[in-house]
Amino acid sequence: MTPPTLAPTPSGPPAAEGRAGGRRILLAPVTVSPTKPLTPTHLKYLLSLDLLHRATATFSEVTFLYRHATYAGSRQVAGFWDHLDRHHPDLAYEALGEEDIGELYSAYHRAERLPYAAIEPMVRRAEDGWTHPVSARLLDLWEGHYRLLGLFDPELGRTGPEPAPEAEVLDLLVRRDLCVRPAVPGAPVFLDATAAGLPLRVVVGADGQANYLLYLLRELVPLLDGHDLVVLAHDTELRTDYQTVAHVLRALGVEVRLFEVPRVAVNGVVQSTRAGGWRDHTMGALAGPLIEEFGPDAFRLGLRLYLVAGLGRTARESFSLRHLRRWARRASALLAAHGDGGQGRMTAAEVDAVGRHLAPLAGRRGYADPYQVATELMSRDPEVPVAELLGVVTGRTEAPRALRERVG
Amino acid sequence: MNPTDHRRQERLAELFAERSAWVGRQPPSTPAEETAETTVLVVLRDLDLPGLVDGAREFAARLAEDEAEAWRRSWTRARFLFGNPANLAGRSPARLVAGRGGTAWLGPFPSGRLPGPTRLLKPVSGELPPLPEVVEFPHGEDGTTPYRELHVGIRDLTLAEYLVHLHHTLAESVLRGRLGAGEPLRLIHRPDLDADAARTGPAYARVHYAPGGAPGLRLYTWLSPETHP
Repeated sequence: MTPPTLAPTPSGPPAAEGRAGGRRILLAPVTVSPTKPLTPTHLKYLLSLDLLHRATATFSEVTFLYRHATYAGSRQVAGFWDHLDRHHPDLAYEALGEEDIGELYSAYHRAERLPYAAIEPMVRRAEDGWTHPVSARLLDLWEGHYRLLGLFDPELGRTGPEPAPEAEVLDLLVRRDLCVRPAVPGAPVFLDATAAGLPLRVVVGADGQANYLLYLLRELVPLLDGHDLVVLAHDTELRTDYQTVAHVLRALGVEVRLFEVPRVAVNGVVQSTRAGGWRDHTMGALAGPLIEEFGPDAFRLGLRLYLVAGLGRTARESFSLRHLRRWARRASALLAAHGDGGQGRMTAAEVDAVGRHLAPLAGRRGYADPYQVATELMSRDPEVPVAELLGVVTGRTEAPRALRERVG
Repeated sequence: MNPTDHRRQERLAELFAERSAWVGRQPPSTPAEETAETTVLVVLRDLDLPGLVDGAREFAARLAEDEAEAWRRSWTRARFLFGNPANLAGRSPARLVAGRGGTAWLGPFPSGRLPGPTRLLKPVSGELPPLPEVVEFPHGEDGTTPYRELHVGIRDLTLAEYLVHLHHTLAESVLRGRLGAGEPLRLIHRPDLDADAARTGPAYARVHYAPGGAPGLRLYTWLSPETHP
C-alpha cells in the first residue's frame, strides 16, 4: 500500500503534542456540532477524549483533529443556520443562552425539511468559512465551559487544517475501489466497504448534498501520510458509518482504531439533543452547586471520574446528580491524599514515569483507554504512580495557556 | 382511439403475447405480475454501454441449458445494483465481468435465495444520462459482417427502466438464437419507436405496458432481422 498522494493544505495540520519519537497518532473524533447545549452525553464524550489525549501523549505523539468548521456544510449545521435566517432574521444571538439555542434547534428539527436546493446557498457560505452568529455564540459559551472543565484546549474546535477539495478525495477513493460514483444524474455517490462486509454508504445524496462522512474524509485524507495510527472517536449510533470510514482509511495504508463512546441516558431515556431532554442537565445547571461545595478541581476530576469510570464503557445507568455529587466527594478525597494533585508543571521525568506505566497497558491498541486510566487513578496498587497520573489527567503536563503558542 | 392507433395496439398485443408464449406463461395483466423463480443480478459501477451490451449477450450465451430454461420461464428477470465488481470477488464471485471490470453478472439464483453480499449493494437509481444517438459495437476481424440494428425508445425512461428493457432484449434475443454474442451491433436511441417500423418481421421486439400506468402497450425496443448474405 502506498499512502495517498493528497498534500496537506498550506495552513498545515494542527501541531502534534506529547512524546516526540513515539508513534504518531492522529486522534480524530466526530465533533459536537455548535447548534445545541452540551449535555451529559457530550460531556462524557469530550472528557473521555481529553483523558485519552492527555494520557496517550505521555508515550506517543498525538495530533488532535477537532474542527467544527469541517462539518459546517452538513445539513445538521447549515440547515439549522438557514432555518434561523428564514424564521428569526432579527434575533440578538449574542444575548441567547445555551438553553434558548437548544429550543431553537429542537424547533428546527420539528419544522418541515427543505430540499437541498433551498439550503444550498447557506451550505456554500458555511463551506467558505462563514459562521452563523448562533454558533459563534455557542462557541463562546462552550469556551467558558471548557475552561471550567479544565479541558486541554479551551478553544477546542475553532481552528484546524482546511479540508482537501471534494473532487480530489472522491477521485482518489474511486481509483482505490473505495467509492462507487455513477455518472448518473439523480444517483447518489457511495463509500464502498463491501469488501469488508459493510453496505454501500451514501456520501453524496441524490440531490447532490455531501454528508458528514465526506467532510470527515476530506479532513483526514491529507493528514494520513504523517501518522502511523488513526484513532476515530464516535458515539455508538454511528458505529457502522465509522467502520466504513475505518475500512477506507486502512485501504489507504494507515492503521485505524475505533474508539466508541455511548450516549448517556437522562432519566432513563437516551435521546438526541434535537429532541430536547437536556433541560436541567446542561453545564450551567450542573457545575454551580458542585463547585460551590467541593471547589473547581474536585468538580473537574469528579465529573471525569463519574462520566468515564462511573458510567463506564457502556453507560447502562442514567446520569444522576446524586452519583455525580458522590464522585465529586471522592475526587476531593483523592486530590487531598495526593497533595491536591501537586502544584506547577510536571517535570519530564514525572511524565515519563506515567508513560512507562501507561504504554504497556495500551499495548497493541496504541492509545490509552480513558476508562482504564480513570480506574487506575483509584488503584491501591503501590506500583501505580497515582500522584503523577493525577497530574497528567488534570493537565499539569501542559504549559500554562498564556505562554503556549497558538496552534493553527 | 383512431383506427391506426387501434391497429398498432393490436399489433403490439400480438408481439406481447408472442413473448409470453415463449416464456410459457399467460401475458401478465400488470407489470408486477411477472413472477420469477430465478433472478440474475447485474452489478454496475456506472452505466458503461459497451460492457453492458457485450456482457449481457455473452452471459446469456454461456448459460447451461437448464439455467437458460429456468431463466426463460422467469421472464429473464434481472436486478440491477450499483456496486463495484472488484469488491465482490472474494465473497460472491461474478459469473462474468465485462467492460474493464465495471459491470458484472451473478447467478441465476433462486429468487428467494440471493447471495448475502449482494444485499450490501443498492438498487440502481437516477435518471437516464444523456445517451449518444448511435453507439456501434463492432466485432469480427474482417469488418465485412453487417451490423444488426437495435432500436431503443428512451422517452421518459429512468436509468433502471432503460436497463430492464435493454437487458431483456439482449438476453432473450441471444437465448432465442436471433442475435449472436459477437455479432456487430448498432444501438440506436430514439425518443419513440415507430410501431409500424417493427411490423416487417423484427428479429425481436420488446413490448410492455407504458410507464406510469398510462393506458396501452408501448414498443420499447426492436432488433433488425438477421441478414442472409
